[in-house]
Amino acid sequence: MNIQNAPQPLGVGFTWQPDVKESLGEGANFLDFYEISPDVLCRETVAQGRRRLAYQPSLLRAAVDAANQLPLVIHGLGLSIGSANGWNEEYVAILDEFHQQQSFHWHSDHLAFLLTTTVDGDELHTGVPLPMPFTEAALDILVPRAIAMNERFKVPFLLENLTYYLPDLPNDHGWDEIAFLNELTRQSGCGLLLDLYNFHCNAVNFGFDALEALKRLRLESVIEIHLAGGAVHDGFLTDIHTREVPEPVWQILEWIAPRAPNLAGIVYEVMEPAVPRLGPETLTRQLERVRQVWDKYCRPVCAGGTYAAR
Amino acid sequence: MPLAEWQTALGTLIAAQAGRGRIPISTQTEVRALQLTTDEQMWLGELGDSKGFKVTCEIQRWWRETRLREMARLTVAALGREQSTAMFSAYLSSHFCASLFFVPEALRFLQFVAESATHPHLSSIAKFERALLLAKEAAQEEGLHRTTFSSFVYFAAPAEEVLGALLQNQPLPEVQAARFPVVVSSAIQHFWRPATSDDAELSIQ
Repeated sequence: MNIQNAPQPLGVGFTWQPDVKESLGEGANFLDFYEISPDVLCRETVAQGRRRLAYQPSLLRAAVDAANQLPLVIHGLGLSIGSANGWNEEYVAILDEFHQQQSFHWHSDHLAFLLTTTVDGDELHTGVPLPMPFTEAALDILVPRAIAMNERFKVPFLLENLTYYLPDLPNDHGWDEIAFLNELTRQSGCGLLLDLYNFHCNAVNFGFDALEALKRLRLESVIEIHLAGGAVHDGFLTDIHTREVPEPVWQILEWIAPRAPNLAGIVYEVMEPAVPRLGPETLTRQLERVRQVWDKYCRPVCAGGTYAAR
Repeated sequence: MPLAEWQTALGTLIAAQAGRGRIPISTQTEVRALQLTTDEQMWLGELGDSKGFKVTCEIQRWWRETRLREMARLTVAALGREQSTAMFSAYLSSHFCASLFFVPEALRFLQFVAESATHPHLSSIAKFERALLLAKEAAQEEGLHRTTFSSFVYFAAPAEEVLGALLQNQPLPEVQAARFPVVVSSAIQHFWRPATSDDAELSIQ
């Protein structure tokens, strides 16, 4: 990524949800920004094969109000940017609508596909985000769409690496996930939302060294980092944001934070139902630790009350 | 478009395994007929036996069941543990995923239960819960988009007794020959009430 396109550093973020400040207790004091998923502010109807998304006005208002307290970034779930038959136009429409009401510093979605077709040509929803093959054909789909997203709102567009469980994904040129991410960000100019927990899951599940692999990543493309904790299912570490960040993920963060020159935010992700179970004390401890890493390695030099480039 | 065919193949296999717990021979034949390279066909052929594929499908199924348990609590409670497991299986095998959103999934499930339940109380509870969801959805609309949702649901015993027993984990009341209508509407407080005789006349018309 060109340094000129890197966004202003924001700091420590958390998944926005209604009553987030009350849920976090003192942990809210460590926050610099919220990450909002427009999808969760919406209702979806599916009738006669037509999918329609519409904001729930009260949730949209609450999200926009949150922007009066802290800066916002957008993290979508439903773009399905990798669908060969076209991305989810309904999701793009709600993103447009949100942007008309509220600006955001950057936006991101998952490097995945959710929508495809049956063998008869009807729409088929995969029900879980599925990985792209590490191929030229996948890049042919992704690169122009990432460029289009980058230009659409005049703020950086990031793609997030996925946890996947399918073995030996098809590839060209012997590409693995890192090589594919490098090609994608280099060709498109889009940034990377590096989910360290997702990458840790892949490393554990497929038996490779996460840190060694990340040493090959174009670290200048990393704009945002996600942290989370999940659970083991049938021998697989799964991407479910219900727990504290595991220690190996903290260790990777300590390695990468000082080496990613355009890192602009670190977000601790927790699913809404898990927030009360974890409780404010645990959440505060987690956010305090994120804050320590940010302050140690990433805090920009403030000049006249505004951020200056590191 | 080879990538489109590859995604169709993968999505089809996952939908079958997640919904039915197996990949029928007819589905395997359909996937083999897609225009895929030899390597892709080989990868897909081996995929079904991998643990990672099964975990992917189990996660999809688990998410769907979680949404249903969250959104269809009355009906799931009325079904009980064993019957709800069987009903989930029947529903998931016949209705592939259409949305990641809670409400559309729950509406389809409740429709399925209402149509397939043999016990009158169960069918009424599913219809009632479905109507409540629709009423709550309509109540959230504002401005020009605002519409009113209203519906009648008929119980085979006084609704207060059926729902009261359900909420208190007590046996449901005896089924009666008479019908006991309730109005479910986005325009009334708490979204429902027993129908009055005037309401009931309206519903017959």
